[in-house]
Amino acid sequence: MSASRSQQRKKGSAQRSAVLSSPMPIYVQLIMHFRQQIESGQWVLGQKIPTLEELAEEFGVTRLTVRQAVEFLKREGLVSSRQGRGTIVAAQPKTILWRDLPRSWAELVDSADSLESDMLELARPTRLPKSPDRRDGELAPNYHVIRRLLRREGLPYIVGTSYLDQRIVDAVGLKALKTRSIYRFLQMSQNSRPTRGDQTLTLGTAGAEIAYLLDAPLGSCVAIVTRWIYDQNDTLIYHSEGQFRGHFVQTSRRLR
Amino acid sequence: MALGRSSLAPGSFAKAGELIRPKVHPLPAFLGATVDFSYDRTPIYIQLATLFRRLVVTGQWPVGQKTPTHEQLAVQLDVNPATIAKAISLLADEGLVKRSRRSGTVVIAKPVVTQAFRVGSNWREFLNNFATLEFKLLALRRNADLTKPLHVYKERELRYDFFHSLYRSDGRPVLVEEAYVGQQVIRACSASAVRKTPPLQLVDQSSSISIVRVDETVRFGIADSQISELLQTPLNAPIAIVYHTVVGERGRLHHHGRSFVRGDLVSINEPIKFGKQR
Repeated sequence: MSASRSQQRKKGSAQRSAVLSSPMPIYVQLIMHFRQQIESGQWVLGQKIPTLEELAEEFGVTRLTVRQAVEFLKREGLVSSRQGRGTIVAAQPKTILWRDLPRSWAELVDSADSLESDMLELARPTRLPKSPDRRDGELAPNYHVIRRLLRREGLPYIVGTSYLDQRIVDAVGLKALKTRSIYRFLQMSQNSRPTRGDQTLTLGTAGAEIAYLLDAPLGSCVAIVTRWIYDQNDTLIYHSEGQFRGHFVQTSRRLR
Repeated sequence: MALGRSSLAPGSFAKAGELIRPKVHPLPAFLGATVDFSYDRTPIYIQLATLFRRLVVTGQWPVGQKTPTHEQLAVQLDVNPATIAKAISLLADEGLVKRSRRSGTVVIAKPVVTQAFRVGSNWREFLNNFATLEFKLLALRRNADLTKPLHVYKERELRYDFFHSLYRSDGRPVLVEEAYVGQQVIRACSASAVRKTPPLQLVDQSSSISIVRVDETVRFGIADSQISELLQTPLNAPIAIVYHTVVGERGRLHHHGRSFVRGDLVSINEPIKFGKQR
């Protein structure tokens, strides 16, 4: 957008300047562009897309970068490739690429339903504290600690550590926790009702473990979302720290 | 640019089920096993510096303690010791580690984290961010081509001016802003006000328009060379990209911009809203 940037871009092809224009990593920008090609019908369902070499040439980037973007679309199920037949468009995107972070309890409960989770008992990097840092309210006597990898449409999305009031886990039963989201689980408690909460978002970079789990580049941006949920007695019944894949996560609000 | 183990592509990463098997080692043994420098086109020493910085931030390399030797790290990460030395020297420049021939590399400080920019809440509070920051106009382009805003609007003005600005707090860069301001606002301002006032304040103070709606979206990225130079942040450091649109009567677009904010200076704090029903 600035003068020096537009000069830089003039050296590339016209396509490149139209598509690659922001500080998003290039493979992220390519994913966004390729999805748009499919959505708009420029890339026709069932037909071959250009080869990696052609795309690399077109955008003035390396073949490896194009491959990262195409691999991402493959895992999303939007394209598929067979040996010797090239890569074809397999489906129209069904979901929006950029997902808003939930801002209310209702959104939180709904959004968690669309996530699949894997427990990460063995991938635990360090010993986790038994209970969360206290912020305000009262701490529960004990917490059940879970570390999970959450996926959205099959793609790794969040690595999160959650602390649940042990009394709720004992009352509702661990089995229920395996079959539904933590937020639905919390709603099942008879004695304790989620009543208020806070969340903060800060930015970090993916270290080795997080990059591996989220299948993202080392050092790529992660959004760290921390939540505190209290019950009607002001007891901290839930606390979590989630590291979100920074790309394709956004937070929006109307200021006025 | 030469890349490390380029045979490893994203698709070669472990699938869901494999995570459960004890294939994943706890840190730091984990470190060498899965670090793949080919995923990113950034030079390896910069990727390494990002990795080491993170170890300092998380306390896995505690302050006051020695880091593993460059040779150990080189073996563990399967890179040249000279590359390790180059990455460590970046951290030394940032004042995070101290190197000496006798005692090796010692961690001396964690990166300072101060949160100077508050995203979110409401328009008034958001504008206060700009009131407390020092404003410097880097470039002004009259009658610029409008890029596509992220949010919806109904109609556009005939002309927009483009502002490229830098904001600092105590001399420290906080954000770089690229903004388009419509003619209705500009025409009602004096030439000097246009050069001295942050664009969002021009829009807010303008008597020639009335603001009906302001939308904000925050996305996340990493600093490229231009942004990292302006924000004096390490190359590849996380940044927040804050998009704004200001819409007036009849859905007319008066302002649209995006700001690149240093990732370590951003925080969004908000209550989780609870409705009436559970």
